[in-house]
Amino acid sequence: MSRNRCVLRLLSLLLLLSLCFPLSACAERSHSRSFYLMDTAITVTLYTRDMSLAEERFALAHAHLTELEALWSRHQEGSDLSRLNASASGSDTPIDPRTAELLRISREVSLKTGGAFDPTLAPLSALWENCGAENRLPTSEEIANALKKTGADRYTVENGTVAKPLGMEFDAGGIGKGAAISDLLSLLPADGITGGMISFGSNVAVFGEKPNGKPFRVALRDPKNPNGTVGTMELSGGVVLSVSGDYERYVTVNGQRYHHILDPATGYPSASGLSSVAVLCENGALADALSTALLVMGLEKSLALYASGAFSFEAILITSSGECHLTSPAVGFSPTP
Amino acid sequence: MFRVRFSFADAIVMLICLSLALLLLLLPLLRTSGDRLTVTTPETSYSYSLSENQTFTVVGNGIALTVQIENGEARVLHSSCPDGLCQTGGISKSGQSILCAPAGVRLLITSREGGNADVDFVAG
Repeated sequence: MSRNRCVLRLLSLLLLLSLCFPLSACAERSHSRSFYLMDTAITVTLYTRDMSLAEERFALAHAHLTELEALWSRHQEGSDLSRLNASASGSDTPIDPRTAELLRISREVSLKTGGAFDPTLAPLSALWENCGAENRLPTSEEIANALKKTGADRYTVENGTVAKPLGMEFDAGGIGKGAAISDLLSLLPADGITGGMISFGSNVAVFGEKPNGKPFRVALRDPKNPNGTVGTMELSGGVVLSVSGDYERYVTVNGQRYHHILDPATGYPSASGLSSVAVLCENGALADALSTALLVMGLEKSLALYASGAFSFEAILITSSGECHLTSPAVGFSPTP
Repeated sequence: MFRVRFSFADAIVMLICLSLALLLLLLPLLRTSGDRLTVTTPETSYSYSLSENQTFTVVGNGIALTVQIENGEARVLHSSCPDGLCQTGGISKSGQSILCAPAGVRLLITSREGGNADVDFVAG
């Protein structure tokens, strides 16, 4: 074998190997970042080969959520909600249009669900938390007193201004994260990002495609077994999935668990016969609020609300006995065998 | 200027190189299935493929854990928790877990045979 031939073979080998590495580097990579905002963990996953672009979008998401938290946190001094809550009537309190819109949607959901969703339950929630810390149940008198300060039908939103009775307090906990996730679905996509997933507490949404081209699949946690799932479904881009369950947060009194989703009609933890509700809706705020409302309303009233067409959504309703009910087969839910 | 004739041995070398190139190109796609790391916090759950090397932060009860997935193994690189008990070593086999009690965070390896290998997120 001539020396020239050997040199040529070696060169061709090096040339082709050098091509291999840039080609393998072309594959999209998954970049994830978690933050803790609005008293909840949020994780953003982006599929891109451009790490700096991912970092830029993470920073954008963090800045936007920080801004929303500064508007909607009821514990942050100077926030729209803390100022509204401290105000006697609300009408003298200037608020951001996004806050006004959030409270308008909250009121709409409340009115159309017979008050099953109520953004003014803060005094009642605080009562249950305080009693839980004292290892006692609230008395019926305490509950009645707390309920006097609630009722979404008792406030109005007009021309970007809120009018409310004295003592009423707003809490965005049941709707704010859904609204925020919808915002991120608009903010995060960019040239160079092929897809992504955003999970915010019990809300999740996706956009674009996964690197392997397969659809995004989401499993629903089994309300009776935190390590198990009751089924899976494909999640379409732009749709927000919100889940509410009676297993998420609770207080314990004398060894008995009392979950945190309160029925505004009774003042006690919801006992509708549903353990978990997952709502699919293009409007994240609606998805978030409706998942709570349906859990309180129970199976029959939830299906009646769906049939009425008052809101455009789909839902998976899991009863306390573990039965899964779908608003329509279009949900595409596959129960775990 | 010299002239070189293309021989059978040259073709073998070229074939090996092209096969290598193709393999490296397709490797990321071939590795998308397999075991996963399920991260559960007091608030929610996340699921990550163990076949994708990545580093991310998980937060529970205000405690931040930096988790690394590398070569099919997951470990806690750093935690702001004073205990630091979770930084003991890596996990890679189905059913293995790392628990940080103060943060309420659990890392669990789930097998593809478990039925959730293709699941991107566990909601609820």
